[in-house]
Amino acid sequence: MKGFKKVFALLIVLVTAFVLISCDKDKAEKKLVIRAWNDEFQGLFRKYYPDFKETKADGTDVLKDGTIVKWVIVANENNAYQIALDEALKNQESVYEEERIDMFLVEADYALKYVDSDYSLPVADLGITTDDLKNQYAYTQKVMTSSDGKLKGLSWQATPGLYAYRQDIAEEVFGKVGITPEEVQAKISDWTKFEAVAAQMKAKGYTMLAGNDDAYRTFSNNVSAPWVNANKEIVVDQNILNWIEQTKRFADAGYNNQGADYALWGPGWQKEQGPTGKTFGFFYSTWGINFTLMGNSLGDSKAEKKVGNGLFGKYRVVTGPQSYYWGGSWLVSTKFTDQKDLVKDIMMKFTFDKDIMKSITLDTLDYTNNKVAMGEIANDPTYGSAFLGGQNHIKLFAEAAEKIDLKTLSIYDQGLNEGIQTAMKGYFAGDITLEKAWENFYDGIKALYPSLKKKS
Amino acid sequence: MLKSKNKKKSISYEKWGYYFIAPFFIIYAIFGLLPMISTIRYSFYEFYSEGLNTIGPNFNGLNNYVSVLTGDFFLALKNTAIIWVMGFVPQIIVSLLLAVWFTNNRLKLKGTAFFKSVIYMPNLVMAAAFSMIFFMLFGQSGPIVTMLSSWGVIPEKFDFLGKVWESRSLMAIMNFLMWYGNTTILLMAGIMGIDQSLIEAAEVDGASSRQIFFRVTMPLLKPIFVYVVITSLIGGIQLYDIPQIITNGTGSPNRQNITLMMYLQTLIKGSNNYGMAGALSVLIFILTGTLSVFVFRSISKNELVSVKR
Amino acid sequence: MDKNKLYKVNTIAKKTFIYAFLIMLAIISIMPFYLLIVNSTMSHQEISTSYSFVFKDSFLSNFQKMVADTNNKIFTAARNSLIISLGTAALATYFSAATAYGIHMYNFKGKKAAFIFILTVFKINTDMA
Repeated sequence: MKGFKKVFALLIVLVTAFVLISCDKDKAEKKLVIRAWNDEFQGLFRKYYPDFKETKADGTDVLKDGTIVKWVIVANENNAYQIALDEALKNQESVYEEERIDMFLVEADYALKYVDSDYSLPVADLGITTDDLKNQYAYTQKVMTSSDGKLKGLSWQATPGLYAYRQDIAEEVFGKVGITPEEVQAKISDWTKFEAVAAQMKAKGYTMLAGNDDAYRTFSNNVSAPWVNANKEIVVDQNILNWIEQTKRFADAGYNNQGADYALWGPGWQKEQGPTGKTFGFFYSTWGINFTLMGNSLGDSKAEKKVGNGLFGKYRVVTGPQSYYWGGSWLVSTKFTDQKDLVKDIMMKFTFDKDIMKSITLDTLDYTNNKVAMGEIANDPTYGSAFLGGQNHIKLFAEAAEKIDLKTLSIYDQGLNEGIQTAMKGYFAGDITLEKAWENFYDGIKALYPSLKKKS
Repeated sequence: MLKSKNKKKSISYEKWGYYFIAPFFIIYAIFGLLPMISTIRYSFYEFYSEGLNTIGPNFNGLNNYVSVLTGDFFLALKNTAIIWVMGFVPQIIVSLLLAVWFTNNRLKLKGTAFFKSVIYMPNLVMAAAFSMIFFMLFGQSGPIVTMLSSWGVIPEKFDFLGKVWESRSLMAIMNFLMWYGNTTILLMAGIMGIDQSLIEAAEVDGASSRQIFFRVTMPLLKPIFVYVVITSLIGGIQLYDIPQIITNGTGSPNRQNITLMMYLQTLIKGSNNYGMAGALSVLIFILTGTLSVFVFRSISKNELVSVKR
Repeated sequence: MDKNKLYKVNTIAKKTFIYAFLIMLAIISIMPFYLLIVNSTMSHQEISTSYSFVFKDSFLSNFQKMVADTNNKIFTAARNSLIISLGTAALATYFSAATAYGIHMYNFKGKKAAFIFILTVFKINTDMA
């Protein structure tokens, strides 16, 4: 009996060990390894890349020449994507050549960290020339240029931001049926006018914005200096202070809603975009309008998306008080890649090829990073978005994209942006004083980024 | 002759004792001791990342400890303690009540099997899912707020999650729900281990049920009680997933909901700060140890550790 | 006779109170479970903007989406979890039993110290991870 037990235990140990240790050693086929945090680019790749052949059952793609494309997707929750990516990048030396990361995606908020590092490959080293890039919007390149002037990543999208307002509320409050977007834009063309209109909205029982965080991006994208200066001191730009003051006034006057529900992406915020909402408009950029706003505006989410279903057709877009950009994903290549030609081809197809980018926009209503293609659509008199009541929003985006003036990024942006919005919440709601809110902000940053100091 | 034979036998058996416990110590040394020593070691070094660059490890003595103690340590400690106490006090009272009721034959309660399984159910729901449910229930347009505001008890769109004591109460309730089933079952096991004849003797002597409870049951329950308090304490110190999800990682409002483990997580998340995180871990360990010893001493009289033969 | 009646009334009152309390606890305890199931039948839109106590109809489409997601292979993950938990249970049980047996049955030097060491380890092992 004792003997049997021992053998049994040993067996279990061996089986477990075997399962854990045995790994698939893929044969030495050509392999492209791409890391991302969602399946947005994966979807685009599968639909629009000319050499794409099929997807296998295990989730990898096969190209026409037999190359395998392996997707490693780690969601962004709790910073998991970056943690996994950083870990992988640091250990690339000990990985099989075939399995090394060839490309990965980044967002603007944390792009700088990778742009300034040696791990990312300058696009020039892939053979991409400045001539190839001339049709892109300049700001998309500025985001991905390292401190020593090397361009490290490219994007297939441009993400200019707009203000999407409700036509029915505009007609009621401004008292003019059929008021055009141009006329509405004239009324909110700067922040002072914006606030004046907010008072008008309030008088009729509407709120100008849904919550506290709505306008943040518009302000934070127009600061004149990065969050952290060369001495590792936190510099709070005047624009951020403007946001704080304006939002406090809005909160006190009731131009927006208070509470945890109305934070960005909260249930209250999403509900306000629907038929029961009383908010005049929302700051949204390209991807938001057709993926989030449209979904939230429907009365019945399962019925067909057309006029008559909730607020479909009742939103219009204008540039708003200030132009800004919001988000966007960039493709970056690593210095470990062994598939330089393929990476170059992918990047060129999605960030340069006019026809591919134009069809992406026409199909998905995303705004692609090609001035020529977007120009064609913008100037097409027959093009209009049914969701926006026939408005040619691409035209508006094209104008806005040109005006984007990029602030310089810092690697601490994500934490500082989130930190200031969190810290100010209590102040806006009237629960704590402004001094206490600032104290909370700096205390929170101390835990997150211990090397930063307050500006003396 | 006999004596020497016996001596020989006992010596050879001794070796087997070592063989049996060896795997435990070997495995622990590799997977438990080494990481722990590494953590303690790093707590004395400056060791974090800036972007993708690593700074350190550079020896910097007690600096990390000072940073942690002057940082959020006491704030997080206060928050953790408050939330834990708010949850545990009702938990232990209700669990004791339930344990007494369920083991009381004279009450002849029906359907105890059903109740016993039901009270354990919240423990099966993952904390993340549990938090999402509460988020939905107590949101500003959620059912609870709608109901209570229509009765006029609270203003419309009341922000449960955005107010300090309200959000703490929510988390305390969640903790309570998740663990009271466990506690009840443990206490039940303890009570059933008490000799019935003692209780009967007390009844015969004319003691009321309250006297029986406090004078007979509780003293005999002490070992299990101590165990329950200590494990709950340790669990409380590690309170992480519930506040993390409810406050979306921010410890709002006004940073009054940042717990010790959330502080630890922030140190790692922002800058991979193994130095300060190590210091914090050591401090938490010292705290846990001290508290455990304190509870142990003040409640029991070393009856728990009975030396075998 | 009176005393008996009083006793009976007392007991009934007590029992009613106990049952009421238990039922309330039961409802509160089952509620999260129930709501989770209800949530799994709602579409993404419905979950982010509303709440419901009744079942809706998106369960099948949600389930299909989950299974079809090749980036989060749910069945592989479940299989992995099963392997790990079975392995852990088997190993832990075997080695713990063996260790306990050793401590109990045999008398050897340092046994008391080993026992105390095991107890301390038990308390702190979750902490320092």
